[in-house]
Amino acid sequence: MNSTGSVILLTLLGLVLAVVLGVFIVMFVIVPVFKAIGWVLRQIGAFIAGEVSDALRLVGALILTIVYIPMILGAVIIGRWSASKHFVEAFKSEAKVGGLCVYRMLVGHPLKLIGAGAVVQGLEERLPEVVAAAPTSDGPSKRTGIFDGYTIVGSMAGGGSGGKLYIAEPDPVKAASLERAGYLGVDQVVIKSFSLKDGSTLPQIVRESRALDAAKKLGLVLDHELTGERFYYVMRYVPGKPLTFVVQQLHAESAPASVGAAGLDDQHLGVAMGYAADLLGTLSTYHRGGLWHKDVKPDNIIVDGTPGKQHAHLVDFGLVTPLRSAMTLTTHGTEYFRDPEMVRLALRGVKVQDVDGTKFDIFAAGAVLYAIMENSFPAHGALSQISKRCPEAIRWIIRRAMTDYDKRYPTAAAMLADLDVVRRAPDAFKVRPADLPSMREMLETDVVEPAPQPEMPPLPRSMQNAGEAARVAAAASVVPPPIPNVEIPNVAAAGAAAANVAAGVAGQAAAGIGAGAGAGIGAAAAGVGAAAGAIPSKPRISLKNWWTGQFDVEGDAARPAAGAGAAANASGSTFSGINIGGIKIGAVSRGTEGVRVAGPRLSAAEQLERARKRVDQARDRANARLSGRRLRREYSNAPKATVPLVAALVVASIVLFGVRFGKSSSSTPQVASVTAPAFSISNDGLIATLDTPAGIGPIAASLPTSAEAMPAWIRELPPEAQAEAQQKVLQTQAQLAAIMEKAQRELFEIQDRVEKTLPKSAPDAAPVIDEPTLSRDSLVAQVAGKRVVMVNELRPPLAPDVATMLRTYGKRLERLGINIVGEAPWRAADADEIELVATLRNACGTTPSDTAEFGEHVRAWLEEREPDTEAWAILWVAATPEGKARLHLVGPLDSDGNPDAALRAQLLDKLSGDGSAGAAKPKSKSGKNKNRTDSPAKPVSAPL
Amino acid sequence: MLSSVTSGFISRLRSNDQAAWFELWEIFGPVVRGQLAKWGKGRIGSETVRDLSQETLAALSESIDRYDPARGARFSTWLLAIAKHVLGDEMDRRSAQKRGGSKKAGEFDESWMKAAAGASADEAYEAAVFRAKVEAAIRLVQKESDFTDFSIYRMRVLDGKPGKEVAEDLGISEPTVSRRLARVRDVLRARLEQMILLYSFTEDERAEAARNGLAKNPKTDPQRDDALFDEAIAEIYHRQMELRRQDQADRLSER
Repeated sequence: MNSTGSVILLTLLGLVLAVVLGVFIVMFVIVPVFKAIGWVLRQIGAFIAGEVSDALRLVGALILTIVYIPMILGAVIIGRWSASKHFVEAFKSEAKVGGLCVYRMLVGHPLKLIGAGAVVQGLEERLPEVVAAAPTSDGPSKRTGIFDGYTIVGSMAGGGSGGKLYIAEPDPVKAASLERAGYLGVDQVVIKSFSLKDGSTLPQIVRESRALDAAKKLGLVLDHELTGERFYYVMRYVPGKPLTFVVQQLHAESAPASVGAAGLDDQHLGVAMGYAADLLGTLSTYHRGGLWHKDVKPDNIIVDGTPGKQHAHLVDFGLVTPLRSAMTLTTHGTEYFRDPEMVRLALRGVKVQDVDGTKFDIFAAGAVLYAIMENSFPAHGALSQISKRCPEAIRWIIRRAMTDYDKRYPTAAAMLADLDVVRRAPDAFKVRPADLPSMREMLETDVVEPAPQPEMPPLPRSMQNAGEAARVAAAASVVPPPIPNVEIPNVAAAGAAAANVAAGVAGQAAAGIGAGAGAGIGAAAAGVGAAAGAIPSKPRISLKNWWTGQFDVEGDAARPAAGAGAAANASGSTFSGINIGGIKIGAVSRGTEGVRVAGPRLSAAEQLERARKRVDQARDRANARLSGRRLRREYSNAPKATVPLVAALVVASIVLFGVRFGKSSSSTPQVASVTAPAFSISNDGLIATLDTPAGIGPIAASLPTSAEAMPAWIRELPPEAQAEAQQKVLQTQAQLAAIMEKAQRELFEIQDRVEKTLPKSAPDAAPVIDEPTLSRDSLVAQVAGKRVVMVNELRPPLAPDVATMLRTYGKRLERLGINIVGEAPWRAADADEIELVATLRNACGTTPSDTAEFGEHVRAWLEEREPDTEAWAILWVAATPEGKARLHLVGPLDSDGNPDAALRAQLLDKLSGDGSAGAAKPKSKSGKNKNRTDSPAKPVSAPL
Repeated sequence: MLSSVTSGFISRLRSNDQAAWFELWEIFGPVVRGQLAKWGKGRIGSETVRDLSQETLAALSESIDRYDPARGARFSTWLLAIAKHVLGDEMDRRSAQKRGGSKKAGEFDESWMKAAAGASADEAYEAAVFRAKVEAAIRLVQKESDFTDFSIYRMRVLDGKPGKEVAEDLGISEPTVSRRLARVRDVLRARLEQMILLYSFTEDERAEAARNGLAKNPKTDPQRDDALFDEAIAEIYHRQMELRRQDQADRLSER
């Protein structure tokens, strides 16, 4: 029994062991073996399937390539070039597919079969990446053509814009011309080239050329060429490495042990903040120049590698956009650095001019600062978390820059001011957000927490602009103009809040006016200088009139912004306010005008007057900034060296201006009679040309040119100071030119006013138009209300004779009811007109104005415009090689888009002003040019 | 049964309101991309998933009428179906463009429809969609709140800083910190309710907030606990951060 039991037990045990062993064998031997067999089979299956499918695909591709060949030939034979190009593209695509199939059949699949997938991965993924990132050819292809004046010495990898980038050196002639234009020390340049023949597309060219004028004014683009088939522009070459790479290096070099956490150590943090400050400084320059970059990201920031001079430079102007562009906002930009709000607005079809583009650059600057601190992209937008070592104040700056559109820093300068506080602190980690200038301002406004305010609609654009005037004036001071804070009894909290806003707007407008009042160079400079670091104190109110509630504000608040205030004080302004029914209203009174109350609603005339003032101020500021942009690098001796020159130029301009003014004031009775000489007229083809005769000119007022203004004392300076001194000369010239241009305009306004007040019987004011009334009336009926766009190529300031001549011609057209808009020397263009002229200039590129090609460009542009609201004809003022002014009249066009020769001849008669009808008959159909040249020496009395 | 808010939003999508599309993709893009990448192994290449960019989605919405959310599907499932549809549409469009032929986008590929109809997302995906809704509410509050107020909430709750440090950093008193914190929290509760209502098709989806410790109505809910609420929000925020970081890493590694 026992033995039986033990046998059974042993048997069971044996069975269990056998089962366990079996399981083990299955698990560790059979399963892996089958898995291996399965893997091999799968590999073989995948190999066979791959080979078969690629073979079939190859056959298909071959068939299609064979089919395409006769189609290509057929299209070529019958002259259908576009179709043949299309078939060639399809042929190339199929050939590429076939090639890939062959590669996979011979290399890819066999290697995968033997398990060498990693090799394939390298070939298929990494190799194309490296090839794509490689620089393009070291010279332009024959199709691209050569770049006159430049020798190509290398190339760079193109970005996403579709352009090709070449590094080039200007030849001596080109270098000299760049120097004359004020671009000194240009050794190497980058040429960004788009050629239709080389694969670029028209939209790419249009996009890149959009901001060309503005970019040139800012000195970002040194040179450019725009023809029908290609476009290129030239920028300074900045050797260095992209910030992305530099940040990686900084993080790698930071000693983690010393900082205790991942991130930048103190030394590298300081360097990195310096780069961010450079970026913000550059952005500030852009914004003051009326542009925004639109594609700020670490890859577009190049860090100059020169030891001891490491600066970050913002490059790639492909998306640079004028702030006041009438174009629709686009979504272009780079993810993570592009404000999502901008995408939303773009998708809604908002225009660029209706948003503040600078805010989007500020967002991107915040994202760059985030990338510097985190060595990563802000994947979470404004909510991105900063997990690495970072001073709390920097976190605050990043968040303030990346927060919602309307809560963001108002200007790049304000953000820079905050960053500078952290940079200059001995220990950045000890700086609290509360120590930042912008935060101090926020806390001051939060001292008394206001009651919840009803949701207020955004300020009207005009009011925002008024505020902008003050804000820009106060940019250097960071702190916006304080709002007079007066206790208002018996007023509901919401009403008080509204009153604060109203008073603030009025105060800001006042600051703008104040800044404008001190238009002198010295006043403006003093304003900017005094503005730095000013912190407002609480204003004191002294009540002037109990009955009306009129009050004066004393203390810092009386100077809405320190800079603006200096200018305002210079013109004897006082800040006054009035309290009507709980609403505070602030206003600036100037000189003897008395207290002028800026009510919530102004008459149309007042609004217009204010708008004009704002435009003037904006121009002044733009000019000042334009010339100030080159002064970022400070040489110790240059300012001292240029003082005598600046003084001399100011004196010269005052004398010149005084002479001009003296002339005009002494000849006031004759102001209505200006001698407008006859000119030669060529009324041929698309363009009618009016050449001024001898006796008028030179076209520019006698300001010293850059070549003349290089006296010996500048040449004796050290080389680096020479450059700076010459730039200062150019800057001063620009300022003088702006002042004189403005003075000229004001002079014309005075003349117009005088003309209106003169009695009609005055002999000089009598119109000397000797033509049948009937023909004039019929002409007026045809042309009244049409818009003629004037484009002025002549460099300001114009010589008085030339300006007067243009005014005379303008008057003659205006008497027919024609509206002259654009760059007329006697009036300031509004934003729309500036935009219109910019699009026209863009359409013409650099084509000389006396060529038929130019006429075609202008006609094409003109055809797309509305005659009454946009443009009916163009009056293009150019200069001849002899230095004379020349007018081109393009248009009006008839219904077929051809020049309306008869109407134009009548207009030219009117322009000639001597009633010599027929002087400018259109070209006869025989094609012979019937140019007629009037006696140049014979002056013609032209009534104004 | 769709709420009127949801119906309004769907109507905006149907009327090809690009801003609505952008909004949808801003909020749910990373979640859907993650799910598609996970799901589409073998069927959808990672490169194609990457192609689901904001503009692409915003530009393509012609066929949304084929998806009727009123059929009882969950919002999350519907979202995935739309994403797949757009993905298919985008692929067709690209192939059409490559050929240089017709400018019209290619016809909608019905096979994507079938795949979407049979789609059943897993729990992880459902949770991720819910977190995206919470994140949308946080974003909304950030937009609406005063900058300093939201910064206080962020420092205190999302970054986990003690109230005393926040007060010192900002140069204000601790009671002010608490008061401003409460102000943001109240707005956040309201916006959370709104977002969940907007992006939910079923009752079950609408009840998700309460299930996740985010009480629906703090004023009437006796069990309202601010600390728990903050903790839940912070956790969701950090998980969303992780998801976005992963999404970003995936996209960058493919470039």
